[in-house]
Amino acid sequence: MSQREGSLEDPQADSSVSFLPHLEAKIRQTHNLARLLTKYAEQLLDEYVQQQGDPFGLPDFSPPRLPLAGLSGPAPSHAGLPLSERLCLDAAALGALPALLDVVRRRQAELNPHAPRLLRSLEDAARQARALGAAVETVLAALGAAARGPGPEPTAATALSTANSAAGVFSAKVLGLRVCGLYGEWVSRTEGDLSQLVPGG
Amino acid sequence: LKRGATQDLKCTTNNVQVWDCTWTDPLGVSPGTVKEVCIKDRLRSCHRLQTTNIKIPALSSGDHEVTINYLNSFQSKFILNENDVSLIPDTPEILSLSANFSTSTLYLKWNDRGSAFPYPANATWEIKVLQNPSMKPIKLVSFSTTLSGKDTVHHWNWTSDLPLQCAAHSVGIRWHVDYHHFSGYAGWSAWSQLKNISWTPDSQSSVFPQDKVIFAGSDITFCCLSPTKVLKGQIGNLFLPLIRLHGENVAIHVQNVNVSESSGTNVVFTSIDNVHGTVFFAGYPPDVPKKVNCETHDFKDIICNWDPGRLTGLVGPRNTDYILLDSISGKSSVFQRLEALTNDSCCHLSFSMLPNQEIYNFTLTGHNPLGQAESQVLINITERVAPHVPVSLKVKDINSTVVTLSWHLPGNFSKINLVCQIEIGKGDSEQEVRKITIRGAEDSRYLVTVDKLNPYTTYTLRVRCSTETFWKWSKWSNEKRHLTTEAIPS
Repeated sequence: MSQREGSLEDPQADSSVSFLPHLEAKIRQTHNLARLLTKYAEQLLDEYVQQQGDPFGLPDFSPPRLPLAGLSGPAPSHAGLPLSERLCLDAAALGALPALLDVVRRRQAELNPHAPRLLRSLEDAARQARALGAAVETVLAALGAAARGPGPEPTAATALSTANSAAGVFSAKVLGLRVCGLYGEWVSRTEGDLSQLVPGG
Repeated sequence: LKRGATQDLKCTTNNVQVWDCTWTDPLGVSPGTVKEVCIKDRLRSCHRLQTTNIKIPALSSGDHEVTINYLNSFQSKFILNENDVSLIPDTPEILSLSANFSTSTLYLKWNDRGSAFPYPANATWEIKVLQNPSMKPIKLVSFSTTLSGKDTVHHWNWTSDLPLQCAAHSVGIRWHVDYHHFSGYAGWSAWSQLKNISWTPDSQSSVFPQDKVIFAGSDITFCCLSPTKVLKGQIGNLFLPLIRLHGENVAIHVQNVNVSESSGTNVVFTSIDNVHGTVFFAGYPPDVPKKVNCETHDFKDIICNWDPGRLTGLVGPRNTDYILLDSISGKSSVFQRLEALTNDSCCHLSFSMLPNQEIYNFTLTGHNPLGQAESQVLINITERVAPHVPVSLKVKDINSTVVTLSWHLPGNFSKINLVCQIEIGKGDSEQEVRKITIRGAEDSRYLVTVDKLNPYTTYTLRVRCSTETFWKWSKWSNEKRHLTTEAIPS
């Protein structure tokens, strides 16, 4: 069994390939982080919904899908992309999310100043998304698949911030819900993509 | 002279001073026939004309004979009395109609042209508001003003239940004038030309009002501009009957709203292909601040705290701000709970003391979007001193029965005397408290002598201070344990 830095053409196709120990550890660590954040993201979404008041959270309420410039959810078409491409998209989205989560946190601090747990969760999520994005980029770099560079962070956050302040409170609540949802989707997608890198994963 | 039957001589006036009379010529008189109209007032005046209309200065009270002589020897004669004259003012003209869409308030402005009337006279106005496009009258209001002999611009504003964004509106006005020296009939003017007002969409919002702050317990109407059929409308989890407006636009009306949650109460309209929403904040105006207590710890800052009373239900940017204003100095200090994250962080304010001012006449005003409330408190700050806790206690032996005790007390007490208590504990149960008066100083250490102690004995000492005009004791300082020295054998 030969050991080399490893590459991302398609690790599954060449099962004899294994990563260097420190890289494998890094991949495992990042995957575990993604799995943990997936759970936190679900909790964040629940907490967020609970603080917005009915009908948010009621079964027959489907909030309007307001456009969020600069960041959309993982598209079904991504499934066909090579793993490195998908991890690059994951990293880019994770790079955009902290600023979006911060915009949401600032608006929620006005609306729900007495909901410290929500505000702390939003703050943690921003930090964790940044950490996970950086970790994915490190993995990509180690595997020779350079990340795409600064993602849509500035434009998305600026767009949301502008929309958020101009829009009414209801739109701000819905946009916040959308961001929390996207956070969950991208963290979960990252976890799925990383699981394909984890040997025996 | 043959007498013809003149039909219905009608006289009206639009300003009491000039009568405008018209009649119909008798049969057999062709239109445009020249005639002579003579009116007997103090003097008899005659006017030659072809029309069947004449404007004459207002006649004095009483009956006046009017004769119309036609060239073809017809003559009409009748009696004209002010009682038969109708005062029909000119059609009013609206100067402007504007709207504040965020408050759904219409503002109407018009000129009464009072200079055309003798005065004083009483004008009664009627204003109608129509909701378009059906031109359904939704408001008819009447009220009076006094004509003062000058042109006066009048204002009227009206807040619509239905948000103005959701329907165009038109406004018309008419009036009638009662002038007590005029014995004729006062009739309504014609309605003014309607003025229209409608909203120009300036955002993506489709539900109105947006983010409104209202009194808990009030009634409110929300409306939705929807291109497609709206299926249901709800406030929180309460579904309400839809009121159909123009096109697919709808409204819902709710009565006696509850206090909102922190992030506001959601109003949601679900249409066949979309969800539209807004939020409102139902709460209360600030309560009168209770138990307002102002004191100083250091003669540098005055600290006021108070009980805000009933919770307003409004937080964040809608929270209650407090302003403490001293009417003597005109200085003020502001407390904003915007950043306060917890309830119990309310409510205290710091106000920098002013040199050489002892009396403060404070007004504490709480203000939020629903109103304001205030409390007054007049204090002599020298009588409201609650010193900080004395710190860094030190004990020094003078001899086996006398020590000095010193401590630091932050604050500028140079203008007053301090009264301090020294608690001297011996063993577990024996305690003695001595009281001393010391000249105050600024941010300094204070030193006193404690005598009549026992040699070679362990004491625990602590101190607290107040002022001669007692208000509050400071907290006790930390205890200081001290073993006095052994007596020198005599």
